[in-house]
Order: sequence, then C-alpha cells, then structure tokens
Amino acid sequence: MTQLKAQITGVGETAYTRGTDRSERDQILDASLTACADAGIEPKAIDGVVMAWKDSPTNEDVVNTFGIEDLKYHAHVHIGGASPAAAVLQAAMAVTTGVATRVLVATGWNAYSTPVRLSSGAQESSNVTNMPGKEIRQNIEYPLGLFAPMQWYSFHANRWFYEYEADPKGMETVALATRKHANLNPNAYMGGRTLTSDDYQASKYLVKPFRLFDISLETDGAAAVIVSAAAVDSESSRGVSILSGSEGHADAPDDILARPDVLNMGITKAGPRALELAGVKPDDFDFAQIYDCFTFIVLRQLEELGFCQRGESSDFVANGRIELGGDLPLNTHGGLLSEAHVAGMNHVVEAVRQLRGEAGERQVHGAGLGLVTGYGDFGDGSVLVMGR
Amino acid sequence: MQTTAGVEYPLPWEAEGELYGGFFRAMKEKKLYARKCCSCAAWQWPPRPFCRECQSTEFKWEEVPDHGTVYTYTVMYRAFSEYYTDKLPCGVVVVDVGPVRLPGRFLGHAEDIECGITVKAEFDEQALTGSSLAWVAR
Repeated sequence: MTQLKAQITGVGETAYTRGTDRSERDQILDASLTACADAGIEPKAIDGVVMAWKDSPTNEDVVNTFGIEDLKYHAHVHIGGASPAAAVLQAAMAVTTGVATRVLVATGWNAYSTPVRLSSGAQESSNVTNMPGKEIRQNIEYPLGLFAPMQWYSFHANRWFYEYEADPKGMETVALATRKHANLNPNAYMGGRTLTSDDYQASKYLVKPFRLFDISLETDGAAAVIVSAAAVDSESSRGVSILSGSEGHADAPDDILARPDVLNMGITKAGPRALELAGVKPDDFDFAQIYDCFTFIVLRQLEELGFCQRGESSDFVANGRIELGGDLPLNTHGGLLSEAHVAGMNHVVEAVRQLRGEAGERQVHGAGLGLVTGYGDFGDGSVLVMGR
Repeated sequence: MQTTAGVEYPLPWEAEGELYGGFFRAMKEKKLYARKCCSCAAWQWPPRPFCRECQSTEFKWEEVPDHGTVYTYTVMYRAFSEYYTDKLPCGVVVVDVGPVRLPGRFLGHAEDIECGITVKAEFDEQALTGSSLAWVAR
C-alpha cells in the first residue's frame, strides 16, 4: 500500500453535557469551527468533508457555514461508532492522493436530549429502522423485545464468558480505570464524579452481564478533526501523523444472533491489518483509545488486536496496566464510559492531544505512538495508528 | 400489536411477506421452518433476498428440528418496550437446531439460562398468535 501522507492538524469539541438547546447539526458545526481555529486555518480553507455517522449537517451545510468556494470531496460513513476512525482514514486517503487538501471529519450526538433515548423503556420498532438489517430488526428482534445495543452486545459477551471462561472482573477494571482518567479531564461529563469498586459492585444489572457502569454515557456534544495533506500547514509543529488505518466487518455484519462465530468481529480483521500496514506491534503503543460503548467490548478488542489471547484480557488489564503510568494507558480522556458518547470522535481527538503533549494532568509522558479503534452497529470495526 | 385475551403481543412487521411469511405461518402451525436455496441447497437464516453462496433468488421452506442447544442468550432486567415491562427478568436464547440458529423467548427462570443447555420449542399463545418463538429447557 502507498504510505499515507496525512496529518491531523486541528481538533475541536463542544462541551459535553446532559441537556442542550442546540441541534446536533449546530453542535457539529460548532466543534468543526473550533477544529479549524485549532489548526490555525480559515474555515473556507477546508476543501473536503467526511461526515462520520450523522447525516446532518450535510456537506452543503458545511459549505454554507464555512464559506467554502471549492469543495473537492465529500463522503458519508455509516458504520455507527466505527464511523469516525473509518472517516479519518477516508480523509487521509483523499489528501494523500491529492483529491483534497484539508478535510473536515466530524460527528456528534445529542444522545441525552433526544425524544427517545437508547436506554429508554418506550422504544418503538420504528426507532431501529436507521440500522442495517431492518427486516431482522422488525420481524425477529422487535417481537422479542430486542431494541438496544446493550441487548445485542450481551449475546456476544455471554458466549465469550462461556467459551473462554473469561473473568468478569476485567469489566470493572475498565470502568474504574477510565473513570480515574476522566477525573483528570475538565471536559469529561464524569470529570467531577469518582467511581469506586463498591459503587460498581452495587450498581444494578440492566442486561446480563452489564451493570450500569459497564454501559456508555448518554450525553450531548460533538467533536471534529481536520485531516491535512502532510505537505501543507507544515509550519504547524502540532500536526500528528496518520501512519495507517483499516476497516473490518464481521461475518453476517448486520446480525449478531446468527453470526457463525459471534466472537469474530470487524476488529478481528481490521486490527492486525492496521498494525501490519504501519509496521508496528501491540507492544509498541504508548497508549490506546479503544472504543468503549461497553466495558466488555474494550476487553474483547484488546484480545482481537493481539495484546493478549482470547479470554485473557481481564488479566491483561489488571494491576494498573491500563491506567496512567501503566504499560498501556487506555482511554485517557475517560472514553464513552466517562467522558462522553460522541461515537468515538473523542477518541481521535484525545489521541491527537496525547501525541501533541497537550493532555494536561492526564498526559502520557513521552507519548509517541497511539492506537485508536472504532466499533459500530453490529460489529463493524475501524483502526487508526497515529504517531508524532 | 394484536389483542388476544387482553394481551397485546408485539407482532412482526412482515409476517405475510415473502422473506418471513413461510416462517411465521409454520410457527402458527407448531412447526419450525427455515429457508433453503433451491440452487445450491444452502440453508439461509435469517431470510435474505439472495443466497450468499450462489446468489440465487429461489428458495423453499423446509422444516428444521424443534430442539437444540443454546448458543448464547441475554437476560434483561430492564425492558425496552412496553410489552415486556411487567415480565422481567426475561431471557432470549439463540438456539442451534442444526442447520440454523433460531432466537426465541425463554420460558422459565431467565437466570437459569446457560450456554449449552438443551431446549425445545414451545408453541405458547404468543407463538401461535404469530409474535415470536419460545423455548423451554428439556
């Protein structure tokens, strides 16, 4: 493969809240303008747009907001929480080939300020029609009461516990470690709230094996990055390089229940691919921002990425390894579990901050190589390898 | 939703459609059917317009065993739709019957479900009404 010649030169986020009077469109445009300012460019210098997951704002909205005179490229990526990392890869390919020079990648989610939250007990089958495999959702899962990601993912988790006798303790480890990181992050929704082992153990099960604190937050907010050709804006010493990226899809990608091996997921295929393209090994990473819609899926991704064998991730994350100061600080911003659920766009932003050395109290000292994953819909995966 | 004896069961959207009609009609007659490709004989579940093995669009419905083992499952302590709010905790099992895996409600104590247990189809009122399949431990 041709080497990517792309950098992330700007990042932006809104405040992460529960409650907002701003539309998702306006939140995403706001985060996008912040990213332009961070990159030190006029908004109209953007000539490409990749919308990760959300359909609004449209590329037309971005043109009209930024005053773009010549939009050379646009795309939409629709693989749920795998969209942001996959969208950054598309942007990197666009600037590497010269199709565009500076590409905005953005998304956001008013997951809290929405008429029917994903955690709501008042779902209608019409809520799920924006997912792939709608006939399966409407004809099989809806009559069984299956609507929510925490339900779908539990089928994967329960098989994993059975097949590999995995230790559920690892889920608590991920919840507590990422909350500690959030406590060092002023923009984290849970920044001011500590979480103890007692809190975790006392929290109720919503769907076996997930307790409340195994499940990502419902928040409002947006995040964006600017992907630039490596040759431009090189006066900015703050650009971080995209060394490789990959995308992968599970077998029977729209159906967890009938998947031949439910433990095979998009990351199973995408993970090794991205590492090989970058010429790096799991041990080489200074930190990892792993998509964490649920604690258990962090553990599963570590296994499929090659950090450890299947069933061994609870041991891998023990003894502080994934905390700041450990071998592999993980989700140093707090992740979807404790910072905010921005579909993983915040994982890309945090990787940039770490590689720039701008992560403040939560800075990983000497961070030079970082891993970002995305995970979406029914097991789509995306991976970015990023370096200084 | 359909009212039977005062209970409103959530019904599939396309119970009479080409993709799912054969399955739901059979279920109401206490039989389990899955699709089989007329061209290459590959089983297909869930139903889709094209065979993934040979891309044929011709299928027939064939009976599959009414018993099998639980491949995986969920237990819900929170309901996400109104119908299940007074039925918690409730379980859904995914049952390997040989040719295909069929999900359904677990009748019995949800917390007793484990992967690998043997179950048999139970055609309860909700199944016979055309809502969804159910399974009981053997």
